[in-house]
Amino acid sequence: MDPDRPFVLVVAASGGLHIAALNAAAQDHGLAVGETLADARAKAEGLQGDLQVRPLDAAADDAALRRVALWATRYTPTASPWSRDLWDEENGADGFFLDIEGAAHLFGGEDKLLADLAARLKDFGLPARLAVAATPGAAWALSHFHASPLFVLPSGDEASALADLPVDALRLQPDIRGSLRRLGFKTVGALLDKPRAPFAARFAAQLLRRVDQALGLCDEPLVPIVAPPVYHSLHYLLEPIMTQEAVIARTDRLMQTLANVLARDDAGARALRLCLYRVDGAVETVDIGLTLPTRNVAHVVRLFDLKLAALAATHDTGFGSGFGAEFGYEAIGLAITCAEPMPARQIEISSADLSDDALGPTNGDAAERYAALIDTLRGRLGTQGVRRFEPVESYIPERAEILTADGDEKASSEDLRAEDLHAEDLHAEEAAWPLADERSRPLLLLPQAEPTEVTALVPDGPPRRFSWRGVTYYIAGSQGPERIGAEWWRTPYGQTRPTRDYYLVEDFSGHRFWLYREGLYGRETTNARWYVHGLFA
Amino acid sequence: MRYAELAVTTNFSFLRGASHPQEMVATADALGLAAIGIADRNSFAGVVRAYDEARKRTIKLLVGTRLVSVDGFEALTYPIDRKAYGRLCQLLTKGNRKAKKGECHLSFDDILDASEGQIFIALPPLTFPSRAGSTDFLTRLTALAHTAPGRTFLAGIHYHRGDEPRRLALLAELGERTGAPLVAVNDVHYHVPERRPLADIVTCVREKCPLAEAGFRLTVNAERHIKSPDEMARLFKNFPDAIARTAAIAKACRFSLDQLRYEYPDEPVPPGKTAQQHLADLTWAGAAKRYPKTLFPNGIPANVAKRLNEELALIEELKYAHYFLTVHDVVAYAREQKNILCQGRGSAANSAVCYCLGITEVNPNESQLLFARFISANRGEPPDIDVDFEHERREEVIQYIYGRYGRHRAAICATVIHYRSRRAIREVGKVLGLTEDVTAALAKTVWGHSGDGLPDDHIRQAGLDPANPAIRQAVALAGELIGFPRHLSQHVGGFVLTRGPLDELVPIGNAAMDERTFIEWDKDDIDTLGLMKVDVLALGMLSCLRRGLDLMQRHYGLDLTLATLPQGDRAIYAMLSRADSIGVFQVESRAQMSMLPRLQPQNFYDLVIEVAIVRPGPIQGDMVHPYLRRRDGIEPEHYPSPAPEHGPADELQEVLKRTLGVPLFQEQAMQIAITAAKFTPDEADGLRRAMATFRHTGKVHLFRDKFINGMAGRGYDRTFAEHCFGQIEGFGEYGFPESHAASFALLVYASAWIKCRYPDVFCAAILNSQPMGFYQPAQLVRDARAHGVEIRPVDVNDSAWDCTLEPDADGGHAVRLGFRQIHGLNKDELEKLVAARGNGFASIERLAATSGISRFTIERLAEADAFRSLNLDRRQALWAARRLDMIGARPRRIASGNTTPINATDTLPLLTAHLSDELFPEPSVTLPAMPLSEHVVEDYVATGMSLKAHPVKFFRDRLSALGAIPNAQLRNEKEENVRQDSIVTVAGLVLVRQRPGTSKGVVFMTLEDETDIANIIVWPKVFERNRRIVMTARFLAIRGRLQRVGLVIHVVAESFTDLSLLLPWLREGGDLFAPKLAGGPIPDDAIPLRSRDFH
Repeated sequence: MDPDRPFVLVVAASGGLHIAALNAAAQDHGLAVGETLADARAKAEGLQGDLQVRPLDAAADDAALRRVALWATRYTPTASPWSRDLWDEENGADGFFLDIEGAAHLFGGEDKLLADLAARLKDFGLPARLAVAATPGAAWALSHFHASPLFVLPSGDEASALADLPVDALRLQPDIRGSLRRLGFKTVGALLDKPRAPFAARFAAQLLRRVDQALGLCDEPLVPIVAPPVYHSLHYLLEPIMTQEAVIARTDRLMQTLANVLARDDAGARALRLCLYRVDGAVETVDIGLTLPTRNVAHVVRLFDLKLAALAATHDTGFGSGFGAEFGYEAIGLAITCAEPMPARQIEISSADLSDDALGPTNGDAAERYAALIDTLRGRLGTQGVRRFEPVESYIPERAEILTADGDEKASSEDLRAEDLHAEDLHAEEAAWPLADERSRPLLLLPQAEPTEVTALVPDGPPRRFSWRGVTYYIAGSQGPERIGAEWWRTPYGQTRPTRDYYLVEDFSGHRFWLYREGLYGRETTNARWYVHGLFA
Repeated sequence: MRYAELAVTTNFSFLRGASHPQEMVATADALGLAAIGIADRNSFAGVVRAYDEARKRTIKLLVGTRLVSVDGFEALTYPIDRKAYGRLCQLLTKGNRKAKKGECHLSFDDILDASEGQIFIALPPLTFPSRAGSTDFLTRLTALAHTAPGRTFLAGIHYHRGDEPRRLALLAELGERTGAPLVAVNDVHYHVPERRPLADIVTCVREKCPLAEAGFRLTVNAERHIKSPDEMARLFKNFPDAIARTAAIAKACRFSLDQLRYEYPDEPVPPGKTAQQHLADLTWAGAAKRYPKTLFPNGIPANVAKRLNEELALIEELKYAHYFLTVHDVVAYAREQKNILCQGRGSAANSAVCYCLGITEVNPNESQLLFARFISANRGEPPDIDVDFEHERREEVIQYIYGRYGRHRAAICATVIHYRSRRAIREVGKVLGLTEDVTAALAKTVWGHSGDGLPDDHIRQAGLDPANPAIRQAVALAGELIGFPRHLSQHVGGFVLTRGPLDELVPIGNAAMDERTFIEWDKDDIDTLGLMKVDVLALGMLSCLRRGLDLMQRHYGLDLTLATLPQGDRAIYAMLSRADSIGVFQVESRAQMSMLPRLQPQNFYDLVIEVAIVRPGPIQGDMVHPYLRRRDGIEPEHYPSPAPEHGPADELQEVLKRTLGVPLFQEQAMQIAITAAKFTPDEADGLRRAMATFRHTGKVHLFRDKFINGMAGRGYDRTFAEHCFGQIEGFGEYGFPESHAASFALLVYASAWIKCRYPDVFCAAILNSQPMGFYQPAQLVRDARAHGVEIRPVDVNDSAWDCTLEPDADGGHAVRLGFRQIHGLNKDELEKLVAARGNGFASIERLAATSGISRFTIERLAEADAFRSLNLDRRQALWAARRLDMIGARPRRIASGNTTPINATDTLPLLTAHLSDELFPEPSVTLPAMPLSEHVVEDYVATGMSLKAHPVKFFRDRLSALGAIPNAQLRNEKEENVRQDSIVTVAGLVLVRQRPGTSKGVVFMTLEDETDIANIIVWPKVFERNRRIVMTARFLAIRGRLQRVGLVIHVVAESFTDLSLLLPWLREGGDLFAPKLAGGPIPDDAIPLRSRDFH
C-alpha cells in the first residue's frame, strides 16, 4: 500500500462496488466517494501505477475510532466517540467528543490542549480537524465546516459563528438536510431568525433539537466511551518513585484492587497495561497479554516484573540505569485493556500442589497452571520461544504440520480455551487432528527425506529391497503405492514437481519403513529416484 | 480388453468437472475405449455436446447422469431405453422443481421410484467400508439391488491410496453379497492429467477459498483423467470381471439421443387436414388479402404465385409446414386477438409465404430476398424465425403459448452462461492469491475482447510483466477456464414445443424468476437434436409504434397499421438523409447519424443497407468505404472473379450484385465461402457457428486457412479474401443477416414516418415507451421542440401518467408531459390522483385530502414543480406539502420512501371537508426565492430535464470569455470562423462518451449547450494526455479543429477545459461566481447532469 498513490476503500452496494473512502491522490485523479469502482478504474486507467483498492471494513473503522478515543482519555476521562444509538452514521462516525471542562488547564489552556492533540494525532498519521466550543453541537459544526482546522470558539458566540455555516453543520438526517436545502434554507443563519412553529409543523423534532443543542438552549448528554469491561486503577504518588521494586510494589497494590472488582464481575484479565506517568509529562506504558483470563495478583505482577526487567535489559528506557535521579514517576495507573468472562470454577481439591511453587498460581486447575507455565516461559524466553504443532491441511507429509508460537493472538483465543485443556479432553484434541481419509502415516517422519537405492519393478511395482544408511533391507511385504501429487501452485509456472508414490514396507526382521519413489514413469520421468521418509513402530 | 469409462463428470457439473464434454468424448475415442458414459451431477445439460462430438466419431456414447440425493447417496445412472430415459428426465425435473434455481433435491426413495429400466452404479463414500456411515450406504445399496436386480452395480475406483488390493477386494466381496457386482470406473473429472490444476481451481471457486487454504478439498493427485483400457486393466488386474462389466453395461444401454425424434405439436393443424395442406390454404388466403381484387383485378400477380408455389414445394420437401404453422399461430393470436404489434425476422422470415401469412411485413418482391437461398444454406436444421413483440406485452404472448400447449409441453430454452475472459481472470486470480490490483489490471486489459485469451502485449499494456511466472500461470489457467459453462440461465424468449410431455424429453428446472421454468438445453442443443423452437422476443420500438398508431388515431383520426403506412414518402428519406434521426429505430446512434448523410438513402433497400453497414462485420472487413465510393460513382463496380480455369468470372455477381460488388451481409459472406472458397454448406455453417461461440481459438485458424487459401487458390485476390474473412470475424456473435436488416428497415421507415409527419405523436409515444433506444427523455424533448412541438410541463391538474397530447394554438397538438417523467413515482397512485381530479384541484390541501396519495408522492410532485396551476412554485408547494400531516389532511404520517397509497377514507378527520389554510393559522415564513438556475437544476433532479432553460445558458458569458461559440453556430457554414479546419472552441454538458471496440481507442463525445449538440472526436494520443478530463468531466470546453463532411460536423479535440466545478454554482442563482458559503460549494453530486458512458 503506497499512501502517495491513489487508494480507495470500496463497499458493495447495488450496481457493484462503490467507493466509500479515498485518499488525496485518488481525489486528485477525479475519483469521488459514491462512484462505482468500475468508473473509478476507467478514470484511473493509464495513470502511473494502478488504483489501490481494499474493501471497507466498517467494524475496523469503528474499532479504530474507539481506539483513538480511548487513547484520548489521556486528556480527560470523558471521551465520547460515535454511538449508533445517538447519531446517524453520516454525522459522527468520523470523530469523537472530549469534555475538556476542568482538564484544559492541565495543558496550559484550550489552545495548548488543541495544539497538543493535533500534533499527537499528526504523529499517528491522522490529519484531524478540531474545534472547541461551549456545546457539542457547535464544536461538531465548527470542526467540520470552519475554514480553520483548529478553532476555539469563545463561549456565547455560537449563534454568530454558526450563522454562515451550511445547514449540514447541524448533524441532521440527510432527508431533513435535503428538504431544507430545497426550500432555500442553505445556512444555519437562514433558520435562526425564523418563527419556530412552522418548522415544528414540517420537520422531525430533530431539526429544532439540533439547533437548540448547538446554541446551548438544551442539554446534550455525551456518552463516555466505556470499553466493555474495562477496569482501571490510578495511583498518584506523593513522592516520585524511581526503582523497579517500588513500581512493582505499587503495581501489586493496584492489581489487588482490580482483582476484587474482577472477581465481583466474574471476569478475568487477558491484557493489561501499566502506565507510568513521568514527572516531565511523558508516559511510559508496559503491556502484557495473558494466555487465559486471570485475576491472580501474584501472576500478573510477576509478569510485569519480568517484562520490566526485560525492557531494562534490551533498551535503555529509564530502567536501564536504574531510575534516573532527575526523572521519577508521579503517578502510576494499571488498566485492564481486555477482560473476558471467567466464571468461578470448582478447584481440584485433590491437587497435590497446594503450595506456592515456581509455576506461580497454585489454586487453579491443570489448565490454569499450564497456561501460567506458558505465560512464564514466554516471559523468560520471549513469545517466539514457546511453540507447538498445528495441523495444516496438506497432502504433502512434511507440510502437514507446522510449529506455531503458542499464545499469539490467533492461537490464544481460539485454541487454548481452558475447556480444551482439561485433562480428559486431551484425547479428544488428539483425535481431532485432521486427516483427509484413512492414510497411514509413520510415527517418525524424517526431518529430510533421505535418498536410497531401491530395486523395484517399473512402472509402479513395490520395492523388493533397498539400502539405507549403509544397511540393505530385504522386503517381506509392502503396501502401496499411495500417490501424492505435488502442490503445483507452489512451483513457478512452467515447472512441475514430480509426483510421489509412497510405499509402506516391512523387512524380514519386522522393521517398517515409509519409502517413496519420486516421478511417475512415462508421464514424468524415465529414471525415478527413491527416498526413505519415515519409520513406523 | 474392452473397457468403457462410465463415470465422467464434465464441466457441465458446474465447478466440478474440468473438461468440456467434447474433450472427454474425443479423448476416450482416441484412447480406444469401447464407450464413454457422460454422467453429470443430476443433469443432462452437457450430453448434447457430447452427442454432437460422438456422432462424428466411432465411439459409443452413453447418456446418463450421476444422481446425488440430498442425503449424499450417489449413483451413476444409465437408462437402457427411451422410456427409461424419459423416467430419468422426470425424476430430475421433480428434483429441480423442489429446489431453487441450479439445485436438485432428490431423495433416495425418489431414485428407487424411477429405477425401472435404469442401470445403477452406486458410488461408495470415500471412506467406505471402514468408517462410520458405511452402514447407511450398505443398506441403500441392498435396497437398490433389490429394486433393480441385475441392473445394480458397485463402483470400484482406484484412488492410488495404497490400500487398493484390500479395499477393492472388500468391495468386490460386498458387491457379490448384495447383488451389486463390482464395476471399474475412474471417476473422471478431466480428460488429461494436465487439467488437474484447473480442476483444483474450479474446486476453489466452488468452495470460495484460495488455493493455499483449500487443503483436503483438493484432490491428492492427477489420476482422475480418462485412462486407456490397458492401464485400467492393469489397475484392476485382480478384478477382470469389473473391467468386463463396463463393456457389458455399454452394450446393454440401447438409448441414444437419436431416438428423440421430434414430433410436432398438433394444435395448429385442424383435424382432417395435413399440415402442408393447411399451410397452403392459409398462404393462399393470405395472398388474396395481400393482393386484393380492388388493386389486383387479375388476382395474385403471376410472379408472386410462382414464388409461393416454389416456396411451398421446398417447405413440403423439408417438412417445415408445422414450423410455419406454429409461428403463424402465435403471430395470429397476438395480432388478431390481442392487437399486439409483432414482426418476424430471421432467415426464413423474409419469404413470400411469411409475408402472406402475416408473419412479416417485408414484401419479398421489394427486398429481392430469396427464401431458398437462406433455407438451402442450413439444410437439415429447422428454419429460424424470431418474432419480436411489443416489449410490454410479450408476457401475454408467452402466457398464450403456455395456455395453448400446456406447461408440460412448452418451456423456455436455457442459455449457457460461459466464463468470459474478465470473469475467468478474476476468479483464477483470486484463487491463486494474486492481489486484487493485479487481477483487476489483467481483467481490465481485455476490454472489448470478450472471447479470447490474453495476448502478451495486452498484459504489458496493463503495466504487468507477461514473463512473470505468477502472471503467466494465472493467464494460462484463465485461458483454459474461458468458455467453461458457469451456470444455466433462462433464454430471453426461445420456446421449445413438443407433442408429448416435455419432461420426458429433457429435465426442466426452476428459473430465478417465480413461476418460470426452463429446460436444461440451450438453443444450439435444440438445433443439434433438430427439435423445434419458436423465438418470442421483446422489442421496445414496437411498443413505441403501437402507441404512435393509437395516438394518431385518437387525435388525428388516422387508421393506420404498419402495413398501411404510406410507402415511398420522399420527405421521410430527405429527413433521414439530413441525419435528422433522433429516436428513429436503429439509425439514431452517432455512427449511424454520420453514415446517413453519406449514404443518402432513397428507397427501402437503402435502409436495409443503412441498418447493416454500421456493424462490426462490414467495418472490420473494410467494406464500408469501398461500398460508399462505388455508390458515389467514384469507383467502378467490380466483381472479384476466379482464374478462368477455376470457374466463370461472374460466379460472385449474383451474390454481390445488390451491394455493388461489396459483401455487406452475413449471408453474402457465407455464400462467398461456398461459391468462391468452395466450402460445403455444412462447412460454411460450421464456420458461422465457430464464429458465434466464445471459444474459437483453435478452429477459426483452420477455417481461416481454408477460406483464404481456397479463394486465393482459385485465383482470387488474396487481399479481397482476407477482407472477406475479416468481415466474417467481425460478425462474430452479432452476425447480421440481410433478412434481419430487411425486417428492421421496415421499422426504421415506420418510426421515421411518424417522427417526420407527426413529431408531436412521435415525441409522446417514445417518451411513453422509455426506457428504450439511445437517447434520454431530455434529448427526445429537445429534438421535438426543435421540430416545433410545444412541450408542456408536468402539472397535477393537467397530466396523466403517460405523456398526452393537448390541442395547441395552431390546430396541432402540444405534448403534455406525464407523471411518468418524474423519478420515483408509483403508477397506481398517480392514476388514483387522476381519477380523483374531476375538474381540477383547487388547493394542495384539497388534493391531499381527496386523492388519498401519500405525502411522499405529494412532495415528489412539489419537487418536480408540478403545482404551478395552483400558483405554487416548487418551494411554496414543498413548504405546504410538509405541513399536510400536521393539519390532518393526511390520516397518518407516511415515512418517506413509503409509497404505499393509503385509503383516504380510513380515518379522515371531520375537518377535512372544510379544509382551508385559515383554520390553521401560523406565522408566515418568507421562503427565499429560488433563482431560475436552481429551478433548472431541481427540474433535472426530479425529471432529468428542464423546460425552463438549459443549464449551460447560465454560463454563456463565461463561455464567451473563454472564446467558446454556441454549438448551433457550427452549422452556420457561411460564417468565417466555422469553415473546414477552423480552430473553434465549443462547450457544453457531456451527454455521451463512447469508446467503441471497433474504433481503435478513439473516444467519441457529445456536448450539449442551450443551442445544439456538438460532436467531438478525441484521438488516442490526445485522449491519453487528457484521460482524466475526458473520462470524468461533466461540463467541458473543448478547443479543436472543425471537420465538415457534408452535413456531418465534428470537432477534433486538441485541448480541454474542465468546467465541471462550475456546475454547483447553478444552485446559487444570479451571483454565479461569488462563493458565499463558508463550507464551500454544495457537493456536486447534487447536480444530476451525468453523461451516459459506453466503454
